[in-house]
Amino acid sequence: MLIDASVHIFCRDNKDFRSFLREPYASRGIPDYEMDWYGAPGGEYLSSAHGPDGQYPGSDPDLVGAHVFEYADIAILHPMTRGTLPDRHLTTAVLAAHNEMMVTRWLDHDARYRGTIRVNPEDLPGALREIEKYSGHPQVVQIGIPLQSRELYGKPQFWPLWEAAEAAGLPVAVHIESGQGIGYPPTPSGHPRTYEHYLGFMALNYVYHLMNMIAEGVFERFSGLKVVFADGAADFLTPFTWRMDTFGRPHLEQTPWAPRMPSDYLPGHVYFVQGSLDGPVGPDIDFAGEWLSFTGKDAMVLFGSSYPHFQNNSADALPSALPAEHRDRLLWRNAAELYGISVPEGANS
Amino acid sequence: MTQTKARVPSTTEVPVRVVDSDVHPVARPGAVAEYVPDKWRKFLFSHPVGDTINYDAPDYAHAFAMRVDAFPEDGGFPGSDPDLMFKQLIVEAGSDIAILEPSSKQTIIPEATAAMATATNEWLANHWLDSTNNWHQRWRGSICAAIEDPRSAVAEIEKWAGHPYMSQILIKAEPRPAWGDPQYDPVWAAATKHDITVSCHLSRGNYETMPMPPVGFPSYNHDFMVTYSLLAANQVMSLIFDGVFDRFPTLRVVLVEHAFTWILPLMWRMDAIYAARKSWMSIKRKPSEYVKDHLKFTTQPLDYPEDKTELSRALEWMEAEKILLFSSDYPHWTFDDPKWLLKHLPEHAREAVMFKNGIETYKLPTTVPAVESQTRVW
Repeated sequence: MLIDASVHIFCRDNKDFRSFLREPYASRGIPDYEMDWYGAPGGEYLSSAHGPDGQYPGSDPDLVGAHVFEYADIAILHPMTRGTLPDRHLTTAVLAAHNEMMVTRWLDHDARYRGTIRVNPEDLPGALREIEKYSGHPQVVQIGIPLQSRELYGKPQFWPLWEAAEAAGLPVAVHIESGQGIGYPPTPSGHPRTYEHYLGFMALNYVYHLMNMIAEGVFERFSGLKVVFADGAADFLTPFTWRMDTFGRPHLEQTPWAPRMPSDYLPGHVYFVQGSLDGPVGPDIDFAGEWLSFTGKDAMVLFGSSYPHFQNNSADALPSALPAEHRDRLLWRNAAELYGISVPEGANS
Repeated sequence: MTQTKARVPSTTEVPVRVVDSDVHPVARPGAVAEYVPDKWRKFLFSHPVGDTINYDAPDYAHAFAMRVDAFPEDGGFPGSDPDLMFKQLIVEAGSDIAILEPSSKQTIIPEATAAMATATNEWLANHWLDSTNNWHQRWRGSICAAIEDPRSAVAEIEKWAGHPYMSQILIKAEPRPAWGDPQYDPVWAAATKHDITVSCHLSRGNYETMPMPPVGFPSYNHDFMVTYSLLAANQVMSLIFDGVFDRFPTLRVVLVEHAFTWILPLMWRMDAIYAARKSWMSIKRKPSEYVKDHLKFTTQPLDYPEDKTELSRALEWMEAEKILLFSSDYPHWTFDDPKWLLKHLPEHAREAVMFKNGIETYKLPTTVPAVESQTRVW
C-alpha cells in the first residue's frame, strides 16, 4: 500500500487554461507557471515527465497515472497555479479554473486520484465559495493555499477560512505556489543569489506560519483543524518546537488564548509531506527512525513524490534503517487516516 | 560591593575552564555619544528617543528583559557596571573569560551605524578593556563593524586588530542582502588577513533592520524570537552556497544567540540539495563539511525537549564538540549558568565546548590570573 500525498498537476497550455476561465478574466494578462530567477536551472521537471506530444509535465491524467500508479495506490493531486496576483478576484478565478480542470479531467477520470481544492486566502468570500462548491465531492480531500503570504496564517483575518475547512472536514495544505506572483523576497535577508539557496530556504517559511498559528491560538479555537505543510522540512519541526517550548513557555501569560505548551498543539493538527530532501542523510544512518520519532514526527509525515518536479521522491530512497512501523506510517497509514482513505485489511508497504 | 583590595592581577595562574562567548556590557547614558563623530552626533542625539521596544519579553515593563538581580545599586542598567558584572559573572557564576559584545546602535543609514560602531569601539577600549577595568584580564572585546558599510568596517578592523584585548569582529545579523554577496568580501578579507574570528549577533532593530519574514511579521515575542533563528539559518546557507568559504578558506564565523539545534537538520538539507544539484553548484565540498570547519554556534539559548535524552542524541549527531561554544548571555533574562549548561553536554564534548573551542576561536590564553573566591564550575 502506498499513498502519494503530493502529485502536482497543471493545465496543458494557456489555451487549455483559458478554456476554464470566464470573462472578464479570460481576457486578462496572467503569468505562466514558471518563475523567472527562481526556476531551477536545467529545468523544473523530470525529463521523463514531458509527454510524447509535448504535453506540459503533470497535465495528462493517463501519462501521470502510468508513472504514479506504478508505485502508488492513491495519488493526492495538488494543482500548481500562477502565483498570488495583485487582483484578488483574478487569483480566485485562476484557482477556480484549476479546480474545475482537476475535478472534471482528473477526479472524474480515475477513482485513484484525490484532489486538493485551491483557494485564495486573500479573498475569503471567493475561498468560501470554492469550498462550498466542492467540499461534497467524494474525491476532494483537501484545501490548498500558498505558503507565500503577506500576513501570517495565525492572524484573525484567516480564521473564517479555518472555520470553513474544519466544518468541511478538510485538511488545509500549505504549498509553495508556482508562477510569478507578487510577494516579499523569499528569505529574511532578501533575495538569494542561487536557485539552490532559494530551494533550501523557501520551504522553511512554514515555521513562521506554524509558530504564529500556535501563539494566536488557532488550534485552540479550531480543534478540528488539520494543516499539511506540503513542501516538507518536517525535520525542522523538532528544533523549532524545542525552542518554542523552552523560550515560549514564560511568554504564555501574554497569550491566554493559547495556554498550553506549544508542542501540545501539534499532534492531530500538523502534518508534513516528506520529500526527497527530508530526513537524515549520510552513510550508514542508523538513527533515522529514532529521529523521526522525536516531536512525534512519525505520526505527521506523509510520503510525497512532488512528481513531476525534479526533486521527485521514491520509497526506494528511504533509509534502510527505518523501522517497518515508521515506513507504514510514512508511506500510507498517516495519509489514509488524515484523508479518510479506506485501505484493504492487512495492508502494508 | 565587596571589591578585591587591590586592582592588580594575582601572580597565581589558573587554567581557563569556561570561556563565555556572549556577554553584554552596556554604556552609561551619554558615554558612547562623546565618541561619535560630530557629523553624526547631531542627528543621532539631538532629539529624545524613548524606548523603541517591539516584541517584549515577559514582564518587560519591570525587568526590561534583564536578570532582575543585575541592576546596579547606582540605578544604572544591567551590564553598565564592570565591577558588578565581574562579581556576578566571573566570581559567582564562574565564567573565566568573557567575550564582551556591546549592542552598538543599528540605524537605517549605513554610515550612521558605522559611526556608532566607531564610537562603541573607543568606548569599550577605554571603559572596559583598560587597565583599571580589566585589571583581572578577564574581559575580551569585540571590534564592532557595520557590515553594511564595508569600507568603514574594514577601517575599524584595521584600527583595532592589534589591540591585546580585542578578540573578535562583531557584526549584526540583519543587514541585507545575505553574506554570500560579494559586496562583503572586503570584510572577510580583512578578518582573514588578521586571522580574527567574525561573530554575528542578532540586533532586533526597527523597520527593515528587523529580520523581515518573507511571509509576514510574527505577533508576539515568542513566535518572533523563535523564528529569528531562520535568519541565521539563511545566513549559513548564503555563506556556504555562495562560496564565501571557498573564497576565504581560513574564515571563521560564529553565530551568537541564534540557538543552534536547527543546524542538525539544516546540514542534512544542504547536503541533500548538494547531492541533487551538484552540477549546478560552484562549491567544492559537502555543505556540512563547511559547517564543521568554519562555523561555530554559541550554546545560549539552550532549547530542550521534555525528554532531554533527545537533546543528548542530537548533540552527538551534530558533533557538538566541533561546532559549539559555551555562552551565558549575561545579564539578559535568558542567562544560562555555566554549571547548568555543562550537565547537558555529552562527556566527550565538555572540554571542547566549555573552553577549548573558545580558546582556539578567540586565540585566548590557557591560563589567567587567579581571582579570589571564584566559583570553579568544573
